[in-house]
Amino acid sequence: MFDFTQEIPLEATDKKLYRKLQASLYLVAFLLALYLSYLIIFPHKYFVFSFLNPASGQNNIAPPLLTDASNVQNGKLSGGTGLFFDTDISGDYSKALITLNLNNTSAKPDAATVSIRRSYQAFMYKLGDPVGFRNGSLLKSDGAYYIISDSNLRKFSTPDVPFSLGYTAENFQAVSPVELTYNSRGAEITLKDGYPNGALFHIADNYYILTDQKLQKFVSDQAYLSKYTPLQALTKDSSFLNNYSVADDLAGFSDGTLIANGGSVFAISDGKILPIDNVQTFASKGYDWNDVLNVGEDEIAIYQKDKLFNIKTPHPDGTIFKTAEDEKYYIVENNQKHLLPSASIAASWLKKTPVAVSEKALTIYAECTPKKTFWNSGNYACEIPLDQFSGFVGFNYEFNLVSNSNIQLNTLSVDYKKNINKTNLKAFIVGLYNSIIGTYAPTSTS
Amino acid sequence: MRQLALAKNKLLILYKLLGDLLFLLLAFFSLALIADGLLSGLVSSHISFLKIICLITLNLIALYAVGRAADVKITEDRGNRKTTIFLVLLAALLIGNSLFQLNHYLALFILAITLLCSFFLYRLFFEK
Repeated sequence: MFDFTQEIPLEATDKKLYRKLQASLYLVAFLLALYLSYLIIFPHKYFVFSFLNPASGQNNIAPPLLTDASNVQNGKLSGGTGLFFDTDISGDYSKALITLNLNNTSAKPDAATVSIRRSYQAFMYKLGDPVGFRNGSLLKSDGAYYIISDSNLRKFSTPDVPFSLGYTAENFQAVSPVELTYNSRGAEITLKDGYPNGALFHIADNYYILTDQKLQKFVSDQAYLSKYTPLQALTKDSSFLNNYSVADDLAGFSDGTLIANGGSVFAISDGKILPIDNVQTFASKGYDWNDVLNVGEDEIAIYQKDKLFNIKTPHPDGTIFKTAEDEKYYIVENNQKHLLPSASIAASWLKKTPVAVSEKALTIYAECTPKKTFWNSGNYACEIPLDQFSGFVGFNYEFNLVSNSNIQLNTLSVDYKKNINKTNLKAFIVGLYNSIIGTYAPTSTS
Repeated sequence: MRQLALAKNKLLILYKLLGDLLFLLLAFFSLALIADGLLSGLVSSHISFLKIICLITLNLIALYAVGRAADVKITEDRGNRKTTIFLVLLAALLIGNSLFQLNHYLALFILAITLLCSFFLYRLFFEK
């Protein structure tokens, strides 16, 4: 065996001892290297929430909620009440080990179960009322003409009114009477009323929308096109600008639009832009690089920069999901998902690729019963195999803990693990290869 | 006297073991740097480089302290041309890799400037 310090001679007996210790040192180093390789190839990911210290920076699970969406007080969970929490993790893992650490004063959990399902967090939102056509949509049905103005369906009092205002039949989209029922009804529009709010205009190479009877200019053509088609706008000459006052603020992009500026990609939501933190987050949200619009400084300047959009951030308002099973569309608004009840309604909102989801995934649960661990009497743990969720879109696991008895939790944790097998080894090698290709030979879209 | 000699022998063994440990830590650090340079986060997401550097520093301090206690005379480094070439190549590779996303000519220019600066700094501090 080699000796880096040959200049330092040892007596024969000491040399023997040194060789033994040296061999042990190298063996320990080899075993540690093996362990590190195991951690790299078959990683595990640990999530925890402490009810004793809910504000701790160590908590990487968002505060759990009860069935009625209220906060959990001091970790106390009443019998029969569900406790919900989420973890976001990219990649497929083999199993999740759920551990509940109970308070010393807590009763034992009685017939407790932990169930789990996987999808996008925003797609697991509660279902709200269906949403109708987008503001500004021009519609025709049974010979009558309509416009969506301030989210209300307003009928032109006679079929002549829209033509007198300059519209042509081509500006209006034919829809069924049922589709008109999803927007609340507004007052009829007479010729005397003039153009209603929501009317769209193309004036001197700029697009405008009538908002509060003021002409609001779109910050750019692509901002307008993120919401509407050119056919929806009435072309007017510059003198038309004298008829209305022009709003100070500019109209921007549709909520949920992805924009790129200066090497960063942002998602737009509620007048703010959320910088997406990395490529993995972008991919994990099911976004398409072809939908990213390159914007200039003037276009981005109208937005306020919000916090980082990371893997834990749910899809922002305006995101549209499309189900794989029956091609239904849902839009995310105010922490709810709303059905877009028809293809025409969906088309009025959809100007980019929707995020693909599986509705069936919402109904697939796996569950386990926490049992007392032998190493800590206050700990109850159980393991859920995640194989059945493999291949599902979305990286959000939603957990629901229910116990028949009242319990008080100190902490709850989830440890995602990968089994040592050929499939996971292959997945690691493929991931490594893709990462190297992504770094050193990127395609134009990555 | 015999006890003193025994204690010194143990210290010498410890010194030699610390030398081996330093080699292991430096080898691990170099491999980790190369792996993380190729794929950011591959190693550093599991063990931070700060911890490795702290371990190396502690090892050096221990090596120095034990060496003094055992009265080890460290001969002046004769310098090893092969090691120097290897280290320069490794440094060039890591710096070049970190500049990969830049324009290749600009990356080569920055690399050349960095190596030149390092060479002159070395001469300034270590050459007699």
